[in-house]
Amino acid sequence: MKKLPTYCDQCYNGPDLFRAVVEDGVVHSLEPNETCEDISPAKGKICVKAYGLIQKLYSPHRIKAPLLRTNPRKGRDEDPGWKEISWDEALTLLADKIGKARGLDDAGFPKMAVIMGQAASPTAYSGTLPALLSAIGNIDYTLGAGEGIKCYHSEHLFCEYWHRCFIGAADTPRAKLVISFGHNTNASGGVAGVRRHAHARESGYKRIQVEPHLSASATTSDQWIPIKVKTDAPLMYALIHILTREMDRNKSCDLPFIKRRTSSPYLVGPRGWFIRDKKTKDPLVWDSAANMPRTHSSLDLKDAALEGEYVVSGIEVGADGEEWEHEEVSCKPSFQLMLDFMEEYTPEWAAEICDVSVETIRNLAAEIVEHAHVGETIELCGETLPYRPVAIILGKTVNNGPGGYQVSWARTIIAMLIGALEVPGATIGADQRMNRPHHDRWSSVWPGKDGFMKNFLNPTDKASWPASAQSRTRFEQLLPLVLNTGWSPFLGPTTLGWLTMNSEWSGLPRTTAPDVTLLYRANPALSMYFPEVMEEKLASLPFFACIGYTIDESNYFADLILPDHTDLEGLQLFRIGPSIHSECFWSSYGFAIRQAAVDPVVNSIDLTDFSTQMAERLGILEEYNAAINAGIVSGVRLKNEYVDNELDPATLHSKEEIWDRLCKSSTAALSEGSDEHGLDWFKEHGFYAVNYPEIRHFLHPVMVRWGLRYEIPYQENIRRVGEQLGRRLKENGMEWWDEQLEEYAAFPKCEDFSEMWNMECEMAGADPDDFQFWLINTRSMQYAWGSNAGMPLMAEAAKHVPGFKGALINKTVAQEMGLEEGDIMSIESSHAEVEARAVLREGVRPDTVVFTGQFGHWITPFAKDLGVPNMNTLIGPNKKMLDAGGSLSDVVKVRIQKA
Amino acid sequence: MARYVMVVDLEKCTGCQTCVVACKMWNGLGPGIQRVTVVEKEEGEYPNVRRAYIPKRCMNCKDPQCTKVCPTGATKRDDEKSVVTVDKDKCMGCRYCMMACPYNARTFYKHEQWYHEEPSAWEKKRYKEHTEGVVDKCDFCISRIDSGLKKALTPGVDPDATPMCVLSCIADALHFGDIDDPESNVSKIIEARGGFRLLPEMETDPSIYYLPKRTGNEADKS
Amino acid sequence: MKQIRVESLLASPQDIVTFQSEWSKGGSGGLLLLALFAGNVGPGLYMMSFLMNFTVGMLVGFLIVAVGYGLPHLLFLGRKERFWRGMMHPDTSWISRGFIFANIFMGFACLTMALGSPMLANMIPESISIYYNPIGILSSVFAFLLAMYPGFLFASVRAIAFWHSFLLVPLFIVQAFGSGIALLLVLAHAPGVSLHGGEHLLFPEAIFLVTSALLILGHLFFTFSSGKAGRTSVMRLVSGSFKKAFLLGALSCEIAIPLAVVALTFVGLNKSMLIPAELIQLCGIYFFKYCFLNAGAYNEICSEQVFDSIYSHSGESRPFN
Repeated sequence: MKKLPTYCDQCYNGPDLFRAVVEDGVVHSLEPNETCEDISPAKGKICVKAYGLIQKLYSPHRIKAPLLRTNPRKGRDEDPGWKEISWDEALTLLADKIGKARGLDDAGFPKMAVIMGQAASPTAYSGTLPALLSAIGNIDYTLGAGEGIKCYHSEHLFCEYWHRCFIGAADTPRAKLVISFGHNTNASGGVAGVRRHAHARESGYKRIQVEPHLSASATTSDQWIPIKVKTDAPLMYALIHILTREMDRNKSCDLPFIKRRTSSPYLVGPRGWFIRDKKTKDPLVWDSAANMPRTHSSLDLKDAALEGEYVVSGIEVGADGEEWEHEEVSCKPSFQLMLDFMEEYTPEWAAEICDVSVETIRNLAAEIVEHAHVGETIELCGETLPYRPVAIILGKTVNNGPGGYQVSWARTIIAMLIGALEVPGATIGADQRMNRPHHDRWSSVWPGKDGFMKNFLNPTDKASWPASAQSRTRFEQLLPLVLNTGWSPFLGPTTLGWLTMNSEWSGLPRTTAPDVTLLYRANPALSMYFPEVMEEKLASLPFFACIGYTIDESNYFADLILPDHTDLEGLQLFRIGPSIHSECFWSSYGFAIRQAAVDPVVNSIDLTDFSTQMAERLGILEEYNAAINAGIVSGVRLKNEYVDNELDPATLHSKEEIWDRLCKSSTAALSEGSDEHGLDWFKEHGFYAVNYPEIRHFLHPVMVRWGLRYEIPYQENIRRVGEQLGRRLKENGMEWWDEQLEEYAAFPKCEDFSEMWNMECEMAGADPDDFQFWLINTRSMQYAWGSNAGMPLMAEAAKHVPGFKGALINKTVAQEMGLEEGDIMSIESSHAEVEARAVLREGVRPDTVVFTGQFGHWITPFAKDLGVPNMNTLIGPNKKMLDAGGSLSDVVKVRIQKA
Repeated sequence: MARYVMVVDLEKCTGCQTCVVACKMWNGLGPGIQRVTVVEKEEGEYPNVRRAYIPKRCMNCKDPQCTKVCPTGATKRDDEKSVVTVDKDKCMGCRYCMMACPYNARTFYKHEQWYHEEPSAWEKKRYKEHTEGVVDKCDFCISRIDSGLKKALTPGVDPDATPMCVLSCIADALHFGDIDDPESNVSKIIEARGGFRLLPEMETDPSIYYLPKRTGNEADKS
Repeated sequence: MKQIRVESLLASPQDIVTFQSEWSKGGSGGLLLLALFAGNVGPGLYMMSFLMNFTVGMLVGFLIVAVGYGLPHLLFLGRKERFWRGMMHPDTSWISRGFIFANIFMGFACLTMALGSPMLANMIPESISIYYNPIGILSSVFAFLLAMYPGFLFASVRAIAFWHSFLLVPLFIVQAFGSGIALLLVLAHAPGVSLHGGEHLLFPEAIFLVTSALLILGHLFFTFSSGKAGRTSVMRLVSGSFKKAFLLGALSCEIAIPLAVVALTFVGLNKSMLIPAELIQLCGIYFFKYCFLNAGAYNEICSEQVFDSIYSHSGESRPFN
């Protein structure tokens, strides 16, 4: 029996390190790798999905060799007529197509597009593919599935802007109170998330889960608040109202934090812009101690006023540099404006919208204050930091689509009020993705204008705004907050890219289809909204190549399918730590190896070999090798100040040689030259990591070091950006984005966002009262991100997960409708109809039904027999439902009948 | 002589089914056969609903019913390690033990089935370890305990001497050790947090202790 | 050797209570049902036939045990070649005991029938043939034990409330005698077969039927009141998916119809009506065993009391139960 260290990165929470137990050339089993207990937040354990890797490896449904389509007609009912071809033929064909598809088409879009699935995982399996794509250049990445419309979109965009928080996490080990608005940690938090919350339960933290159904996470929470679908924002606004207007602010709020670390004292002029010093153009605050205005960074500032109204002189700077000079004008601090703004959002107002009692809302506010420990400090890595053990985490559908901005803003404001932002015990950003570098939060913070951290938004000023789109989703034009770095293209609005391809949609201009589309481990035909539209678009792609595992709903429309190695067959060095996306806070960072446990089971290819061979066929070997040398693959240059392991650009290198050099340069860089371990060392030891000080997971120390303030509560710049964007669009005759522009407000106005779905029914010509249920979606650990639907083992494991076999519906309501457990229900939206088995539970609101995971397969082997529908089918394309980031929520109103 | 027991912390279990699949992989179990099951159970009426995940497996009782009814002597208790085992060379497959087990923790390992149309390389290799037509159940991974003890390892502490489910649990909800040793991990946990066992009225003296949940779901009372 | 079906992979008991299936479902469950039926009727027929000195009945009773009871049991086993191991633990296991009873019964029954056989009469010296009665009685004692032991076998299963009732012991015995008489009366009407005093069996048959009815009702009442599992079992029979099999198949056929016919013969009904009635009674016994096996439900493991324990945490350690 051999035990080979390797990793699993099937979800956002990895990589999780484990060992493959191999006997007689067969993977016998998998086991945890306790040798990484000290460095990994997962302690070397892996979740249920990883144990399924054996079945994934040996599945008879794998694509066993490159497949070429022989039937040129594409459609669900067309047999593709797959023909097995050799790798030589396949790569030659693909190289020929890509060779002709370099550069831009007549409409200005890249001729080649690459679709990737989960934003994180593929790179853990894609070998040197990033180097190949970089060498090819001019690729449209914006048609990626899964991201851009189905992610935590508003949280990504706004919270990363405010505090480098791509996704907010709780500092669970130190938290005393965690309030989760629909964040299903137990299903989607990975090993690290599950562990951290399990231990926190043991040590007595309190978790309150606010969501319409009793999820796997609500099950292990102290309290479940069954809120009406999509009304989280009103509840949070009511909490702010209570904390600021009903309670004594001296007791409920961390006033020193608010004064010093936020823009709350900044005075706002009559036109709604910060009032600024005429000379320096720095925002002014009112110094109560001196009874005079000062610039925000003035060293003489003693006590910045948060409340009241003051007469000052200064200038306001609006959109496109427009300026207004004021003499002796009445201004209020941002905080006072927020108090005024919050007046209408009373708990009574929210209670009616959310179907949560006023008492519960007030209790929730009281819990927040009680647990906030305002004024306390804690020692961490030898430094004294504020200790505010209250965290608020958000879930998908809560933090994207209509109301997503409001929820993200309100969460951050509540954290601000009690000073529980980026300090131990509080809400912290798990990581930053659009801002660089990814692997260190502190290094991503630089001083910017107005005392805030520097943000590199896509330009909206007249001179720099791109009048023509460079990508099919137009993110550089439409989404200033998404930036334009490596991750930005993945952040959508993917919907626009697909819906406007070769056709007009809602007045948007057409885009062209890419000449060559390469899809890597994704199934957009299923995972995007409007599957019927997606199928049509995929079928119309001129040349569609898929790197695939089994036949699925997307590659059924492919011209060429290329099977790659699975997790247990491939070779790759991948970065571990210090944090990624969720609660995976490592105490170290470094690299881990994924190695072949056994010889390839089918005639598949390692993606490094694929990339190298493609580079050679395309005649771009030099560019490819140069990209690897430059650190495109692992973030480490092969030639650095300690070692020189550069590849000879003109030569074709084996994957072993490439990774051996990457291993050596990476370890040398990490150890500052004291270690240099090659591939063989990694295959034996599994990983190499160096210490990462825990304190660097918290932004607070670096904010103090730079003397910065968080750009909250008043969103002066967001408003400016929105106005400028509106002008640019108007100047270019683009009026189709006007509704989305309304979102760019200094204070996001709150309303009952659930009403939008009633409006959607009306727009479809239906009576909203006919559709009495809200259909939402939840995750399960067995299926989240794993592409596991075709695995019988996962279905067997999931059989005890409530809802997996059908749709969760309130038991009492169902029985009143004559429905019993297992009965087939017809679920109909104003757009389409599906059938599902009824799963009766009391733990779901009477007005809500819940789908678990994403199914509805019609060709993926095994999955197509599960008989579980896909909620995407029920959602119709409606531009009104897109938020300013182009994101939609997984919500639809449905009516239910016994089938 | 040691009395190995398992402690299941219901506070920590999230029903993720990792132990179920880790066990299946380690023990090479075929489709539908689960030595461990984690059942989900709901109680109450909306909105006052409580749910729990309850992992179930052979309780390896000290006074088991199954050993008494077994006509062949295949099912017996290893008093040395306090584990109930099934001798696969003796069992004749009458399944009386399955009727007698109050915990419904036994499975009849019948005609082999594959997960797919044809057996995979893993299935071909691993299913050979099992005997068709006999009864199968959890034995606390006694082979791991045995080989660990031979290397002077401590079950429940050293990974190589610990049952796979305990080792795999991502929430640290499972603990294993010798309850007769007052210094063992399980003795200390039980002393600190209490514990109850299932179906005490069956008087089987089961070897699995459940730690109660602290967190309930006090739902919105509005 | 086949691919597992999706449905069976996903099957999970949604019921609060799980029914045993290994002794009731599929082909092997049918074998066990047959054996249970034959192990009841065979010894009953043998005993009554010995009592009535009805050689044909004794032979048929013996054959029913050998073929109808022994063979299906063997075929039911997962490892048939190890059947002999089944008698290794008579100290604790009722299966071992039953196995031994059956073998001893078959041995003594063979001896008895040989001693009583007119064909062998000339070959057996009188000094041996005088043991006909003692050996016959011994064989009947083991037939009795054979008919009785399943009652103990099921009654000792504490895990399944519907089976855990010692009323089953008299019930199985009474059913054995009742069905024995029924089959005996049927056989007596076969061409070329004669039986003296068959009419004297009608009264005891009526007694057995009434007793059987009372025991069944008592068993249902007892198990219904034993808890959730027992209640679920009884409800499965009287109002659930086995309602027809139990009410029509078991109760009507085994008790009501034969009892009515027997009673009517006392007031002058033509005795030829007895044959169909006795056949119906045999069917009824079969249905009863069928229902009996299918109603076996395990006691609830995650009961409401368990939920109370799960949420019992008071912050202090509590004593174990």
